Amino acid sequence: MMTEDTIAMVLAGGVPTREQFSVLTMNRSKAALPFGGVYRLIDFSLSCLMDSDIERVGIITQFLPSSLIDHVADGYSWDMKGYQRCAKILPPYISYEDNHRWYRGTGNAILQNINFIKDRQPKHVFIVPGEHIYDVDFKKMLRQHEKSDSQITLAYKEMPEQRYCPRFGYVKKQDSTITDFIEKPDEPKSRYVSLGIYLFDTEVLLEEIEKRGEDRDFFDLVSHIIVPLANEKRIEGYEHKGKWCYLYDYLDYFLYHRDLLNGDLPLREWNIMTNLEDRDTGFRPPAQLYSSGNINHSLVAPGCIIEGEVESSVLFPGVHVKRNSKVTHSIIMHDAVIKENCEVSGLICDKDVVIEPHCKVVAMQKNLISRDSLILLGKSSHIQSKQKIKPGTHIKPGTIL
Amino acid sequence: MNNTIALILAGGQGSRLGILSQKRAKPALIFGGSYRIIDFTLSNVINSGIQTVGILTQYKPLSLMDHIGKGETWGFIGRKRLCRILPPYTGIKDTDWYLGTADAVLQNLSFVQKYQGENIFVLSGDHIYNMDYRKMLDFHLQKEADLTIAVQKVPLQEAHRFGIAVTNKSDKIVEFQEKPPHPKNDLASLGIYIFSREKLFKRLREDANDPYSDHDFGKNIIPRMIDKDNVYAYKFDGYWKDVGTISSYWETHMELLEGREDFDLHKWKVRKNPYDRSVGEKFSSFFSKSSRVENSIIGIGCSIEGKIINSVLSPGVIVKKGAVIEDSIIMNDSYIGSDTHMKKCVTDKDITVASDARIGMGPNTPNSKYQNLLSDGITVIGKQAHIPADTTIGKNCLIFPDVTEECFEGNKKIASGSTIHSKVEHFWEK
Repeated sequence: MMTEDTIAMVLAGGVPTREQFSVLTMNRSKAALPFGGVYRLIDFSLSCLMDSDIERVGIITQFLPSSLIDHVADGYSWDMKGYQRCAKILPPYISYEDNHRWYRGTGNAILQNINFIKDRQPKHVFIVPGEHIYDVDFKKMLRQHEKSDSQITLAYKEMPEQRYCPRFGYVKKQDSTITDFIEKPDEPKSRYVSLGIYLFDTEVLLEEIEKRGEDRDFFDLVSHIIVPLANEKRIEGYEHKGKWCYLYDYLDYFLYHRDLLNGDLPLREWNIMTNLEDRDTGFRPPAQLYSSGNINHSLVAPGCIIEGEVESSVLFPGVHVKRNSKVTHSIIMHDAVIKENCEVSGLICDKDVVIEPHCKVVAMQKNLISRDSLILLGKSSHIQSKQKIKPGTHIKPGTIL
Repeated sequence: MNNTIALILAGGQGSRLGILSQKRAKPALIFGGSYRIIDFTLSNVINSGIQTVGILTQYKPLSLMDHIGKGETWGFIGRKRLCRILPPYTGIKDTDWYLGTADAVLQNLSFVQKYQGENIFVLSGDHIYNMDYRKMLDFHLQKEADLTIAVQKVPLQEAHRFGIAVTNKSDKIVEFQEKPPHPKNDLASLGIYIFSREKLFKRLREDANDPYSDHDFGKNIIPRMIDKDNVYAYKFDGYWKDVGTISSYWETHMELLEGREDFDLHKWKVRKNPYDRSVGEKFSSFFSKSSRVENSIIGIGCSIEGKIINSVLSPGVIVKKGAVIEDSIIMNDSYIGSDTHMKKCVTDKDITVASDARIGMGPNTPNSKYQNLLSDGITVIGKQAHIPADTTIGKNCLIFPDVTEECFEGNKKIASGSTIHSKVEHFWEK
């Protein structure tokens, strides 16, 4: 099968700014953000690779990688463990050579791990983001790439102009040929968004990476390789028709969970694999719902105990909502406990948070939640009883309030 | 616990569970939404620090073997840990099927010898309980016993269903009565034994040479050891249930829903195999705006639009709008159509109930063919059965696996106590 000659590099080392994810990325990388119940963001890319039979994968990490390393573990969960299969974490390192230091841009990160690619002698290399939500068929993309006379293929998606976003890279195309790549344009110039998914013939990638690496210290895969190449070489465009979600900040994180509840993000139909050993996700008892509680328009993971009222919320494994408490429009992560007589809305609550009785954690203002009003509680923070948390409050991990 | 090994007897057919154990061994039956019954014993073993375990199988072992694998998910992996399935094998004798529980252990003495077990736990793979075996082992060692049997007080009027231990003041067992019509005591054996190696080997070999023996622990080995060796009773007062009948299977689930302190799966640390049917990775359960759930357990990957009362749903069950499920146990990946009402049902995996059906209503007439199995009002539906729309099914009914719409022959009213057979003939049933 053709995928035997293919490897993938997953970019999972991005540094989110504090404004973007605030307390949610104080202890973990963006790729390790829990999502939708039992998953983490990295699961989407690894599951797509698994479904496409790409079984040799390097994962580039740098920013707070511990949770990610635990989660990826030996790659077993994505069938990447076994003879000539791997999911290998690639951290930055130092050596006798000057240029081995912290990764300086995505291109530099690939350069520093060039031996991972060379050792495996693949025909093709995928470079894919590990922090987006998508179900791209890499096999189909590879098939189109092999049929074309191009040495580089990039995946794009057509987006309506009203959903234009200045943070994306856009491409122009003629038939299936990419004619121009415009990184983060100020105004809409195309409807085709680049998904950050690239497929290279190995020799082209190695040549370009090594060439650019000689010229400059910091270099980026997009602006220093793809954009110039769009003028020099023919780049094939692969159109992805399914979902693709980019999470810019915690508001996106909140909104994509709302999409989940509204059925606009059909994860139920995807074949997503995750590490079931991580925090015992796969070993929890089923959710227990008591008569004192009520639940509607919500998602509930295993291990939850619901004695209170839950509405329009996503509960991760092991969440306990006690009697006479009401949780609405919230995302509550693993093992958080909301004790009796609390009112919670518009909350993104990280793991192991405890909210003591009679607290009011309410972000809703006139039935609306905005980026400024969302409340974020960092991992293991503890809200003592009878407190009122104001809209827009962000509590750092481990804080006792 | 290097010198301690566990043998789990998992060969039982569980004939009193009817069609639920038709295609799988009793220990492989689903329990509590997302477990199989053997998970409880196997988790007790690993949670007690016992690192070597052999599982003796015989009856339809495939589900069980798939489920257990190499025991990875219970943590039995590593240089010093081992979980081995021990099926019957052909050997010196002509009849190599396990003749009884004692014979099963006898045939696997080489396993015990190889892993140098000094203290041998012999456990049953079909009980629901949470126990730290270390405490029992301490008791066994302290009493210098040759055999220790875990016991529990039961109401005297129920004692005839169990093996009953008669003890003296120092907990030594002086007499053992297997299912006695007139019990002398109220201490029931829980089927949890610790044997010391030398005595076990000796007694098993003696028993093997006894042509009149049933080769059963309860009937033969234990009474013999009480006569000759030091046998002690270890009192266990935690929750313990044998789910050997459809009624006890249903009742145990209802007790699970009571939220008892001593029967709380959120505290028991039961391990399972979440890779079985990829169950662990299913999408979280969705509860729509029209849903209403009272006192129920809901597995991962369910989609609930109807009303669920006092019920246990395994992963992947879909309940459409207007449907009501009451006092029922619904296993994996079943579909319950809109406006269907089910009461006191136990249904196997992958069933489909079309819309507007009413199941488990009517007079409590015992099942006409299987009176001993179904007389408490529970209706049982077999794996992959299909119930057509607008059908009314009474109490104590038995719907066989693979039943399709044709099997109902246009009959929309199935009276209590009826049985619907499948038209699919399985070659193994001939």
